[in-house]
Amino acid sequence: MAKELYLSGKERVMTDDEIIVSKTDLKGHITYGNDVFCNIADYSTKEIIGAPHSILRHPEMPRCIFKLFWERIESGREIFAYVVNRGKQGDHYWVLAHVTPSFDANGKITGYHSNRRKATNAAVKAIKVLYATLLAEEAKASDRKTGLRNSYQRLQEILKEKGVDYDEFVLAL
Amino acid sequence: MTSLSSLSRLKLTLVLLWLLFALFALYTAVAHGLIYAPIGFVALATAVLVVALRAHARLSGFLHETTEVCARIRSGDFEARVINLDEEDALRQLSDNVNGAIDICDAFVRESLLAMQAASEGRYYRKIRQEGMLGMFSHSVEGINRAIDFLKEKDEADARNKRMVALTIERIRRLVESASHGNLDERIESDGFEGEYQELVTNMNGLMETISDPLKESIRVLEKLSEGDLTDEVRERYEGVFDDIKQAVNNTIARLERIVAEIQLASTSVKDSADGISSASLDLSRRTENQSSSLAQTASAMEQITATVEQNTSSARMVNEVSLKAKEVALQGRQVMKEAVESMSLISASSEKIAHISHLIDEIASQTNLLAINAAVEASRAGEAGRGFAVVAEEVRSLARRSSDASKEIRALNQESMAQVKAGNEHVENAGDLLDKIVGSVAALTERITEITSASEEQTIGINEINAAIANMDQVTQENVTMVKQNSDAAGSLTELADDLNQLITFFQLDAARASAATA
Repeated sequence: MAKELYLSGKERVMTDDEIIVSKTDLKGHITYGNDVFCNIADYSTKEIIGAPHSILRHPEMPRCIFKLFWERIESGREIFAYVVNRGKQGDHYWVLAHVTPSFDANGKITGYHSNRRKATNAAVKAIKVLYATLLAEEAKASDRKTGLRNSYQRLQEILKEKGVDYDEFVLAL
Repeated sequence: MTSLSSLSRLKLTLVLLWLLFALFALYTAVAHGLIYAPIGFVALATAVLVVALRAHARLSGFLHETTEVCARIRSGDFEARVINLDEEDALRQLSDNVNGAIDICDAFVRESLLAMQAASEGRYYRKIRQEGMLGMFSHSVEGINRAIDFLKEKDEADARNKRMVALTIERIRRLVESASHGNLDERIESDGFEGEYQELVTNMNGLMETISDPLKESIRVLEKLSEGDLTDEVRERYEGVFDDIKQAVNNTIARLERIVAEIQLASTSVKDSADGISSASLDLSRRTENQSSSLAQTASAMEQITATVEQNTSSARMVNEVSLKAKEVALQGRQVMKEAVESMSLISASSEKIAHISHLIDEIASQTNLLAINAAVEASRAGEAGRGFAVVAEEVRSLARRSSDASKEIRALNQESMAQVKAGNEHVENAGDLLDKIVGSVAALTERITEITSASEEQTIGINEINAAIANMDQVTQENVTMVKQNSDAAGSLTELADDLNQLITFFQLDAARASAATA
C-alpha cells in the first residue's frame, strides 16, 4: 500500500450468529453486500456496490494470502482464510472468510461469493503469528513482486513443515 | 399479483380522483366564475397525484424486483439479491431481511454442497462452520457434520480394513510364497493386526506349526536314519495326514531295523558259508590239479600205446599185404605149375611127335641115303656128267646121314627131354603140392593177420575213444580247474562282500531291545 491508511486501532467484533455476505464480479468489484457487511464496515450499500473488494484491505494482511485466494477461486475451488478487514472509519475486524466461486448453468464462473464469520480469539492469535512472519518476509524484499513470491514460498514451507495442506491447517485453528 | 393489481387499481383510483377534482374545479370555475380557487385546487390535486404516483412507482418497482428475486430463489438461483440503495426505511428493512434469508440459504447450500463434495473426496476435516447458522439451519449443519464424521469413521474403518486386508494378504502371500519354496520357519508378525485379522494371522501361524512340526520331527528322525541311527522315532501326537507321515516314518524305521537285523544275521551266515566254500574250493582245486596231472600222464601213456598199436596195426597190415602177395605169388606159382605141367604134357606130346617126326626124318634120311646111293650110283654111271650130280648126291647122302644123325641126336635128346619132362612133371607136381600147402598156410596166416589187423584197428578205435575221453576229461578237468578257480575267487569275493556287508550293516545303530524282538 503506497498510500498510508488511517487505522483507528478499534476492533469491531461480530456476533456468533452473524454472517457477513458479499458478492463480487470476476474482477473483484462488489455486486452485493449484506446489512451485516455495511454495518461492520461503516459503508452504505451505495458506497460498496461497484467498489473493488480491496477497499476492505488491512495493511496487516499478507499479500500472499490474497494471491492464494485468487489462485483458488479462479480455479473454481473454495478457500477459507482468516482475514482482518479495515472499515471505512479505520476500524478493523477479524473474520473467517469462506470464498467460493459462483457458477452458471454451464459451470462457468460468473462471480465470487464470500461468507465471513466471527473468528475465534484463539484462531486470531495463532494466525497473527503466521501473518507476522509472512509480512516480515514481504517487507524485507527489495520489491513487491519478490516479496510476494518469497512470502508465498514461505507459507508453503511452513505448511510442509506442519505436514498439512492449507485448508486442513486453517480449519483446525 | 394481488398486490400488483391492487396497486394498479390504486393508481387508477388516484387518476380518477384527480379527474373528479379537475371536473369539479372546472364546474366551480364555469358555474361561479371563480378562477384562482379552482386552479389552486387542481394544482394541489396534481401535486398530490404526482407524489402518490411516485410512491406507487417505487413500491411497485420494489415489489416487482423482490418478486423476481423470490422467483429466482425458487428456481434455485441463490445469486439473486434485492439491491436496495435507499437509506433506512421500511422497504430497506424488508429488502435486508429478504437478502438475509437468501444469504443464509445461499450460505447453507454452498456450505453443504462443498462440505459433501470435500467428504466425497475424503477431506473430512472440511465440515460446515456452525457460525451464523440458526435454528433448522443449525440442526441441518449438525446433521450433515455428523454424517461427515460418520463417513470419516466409516472411511477410516474401511481404509483400516483395507490396509488390514492388504497387509493380511501380503503377509499371507509372503508366508505362502516362502512355504511354497519349502521354508516353513516363516511366521507372520501379529503386530499391527486387529480383530479377526489377528485371529486369521494367529491361525495361519498355527497352521504353519501344524505343518512344520511333524515335518521337522520327521526330518530329525530321517537325518538320524541317514547317519545309521535307527534308535529314534517320531514321538509327538499328530492328526490326520501328519499322523500318516509319522506312522510312515516310524514304520519305515521299524521295517528297516528288522531288515538290518536280518541282513546282519544273513551276512554272518553268508560269510560262514563263503568261508566253507572257499576252503572246499581250495581242496577241490588241489585235487583237480592232481587229477589233471594224472590225466596228463595217462594221456602220454595212451599216446605211447596208441603209437605201439598203430605200429602193430601197420606191421600187421604190411604182413597181411606181404602174405597176400605171397598167397598171390603162390597161387600164381600154382598156376605156373599147372601151366608148366600142361606145357610139359604138351612138351611130352611134342616130344612124341618129335620122336615120331625124328623117326620120319630117320626114315626120310635112310630113304634119302638110299636115294643118294642110288643117285651116286647113277651119277657114277653117268660119268662125267654125273659127277656134279654125284657130288650133290654125295652131299645129299651126307645131309641124309647128318639128318639121320641129327634125328638120332633129336631122338636121344627127345628121350632125355621126355625123361626130364617126366621128372619135371613129378617135381612140378611136388612143387604144386608144396605151393598148395604154402597157399593154405598163407591163407591161414592172412586170416590170422587180418584178425590181428582188425583187432588192432578196433584197438586203435578203442584207444582213440579212450584218447578222446581222456582229452575230454582233460578239457573238463581244465574247465573244472578254471571253474574251481572262479569258484574259489567267487567264494573269496563273497567272503569279502559278506565282510563288507557286515561292515556296512554295523553303520546302523539298532535299538537293542527292538532289534532282538524283530529277529526273534
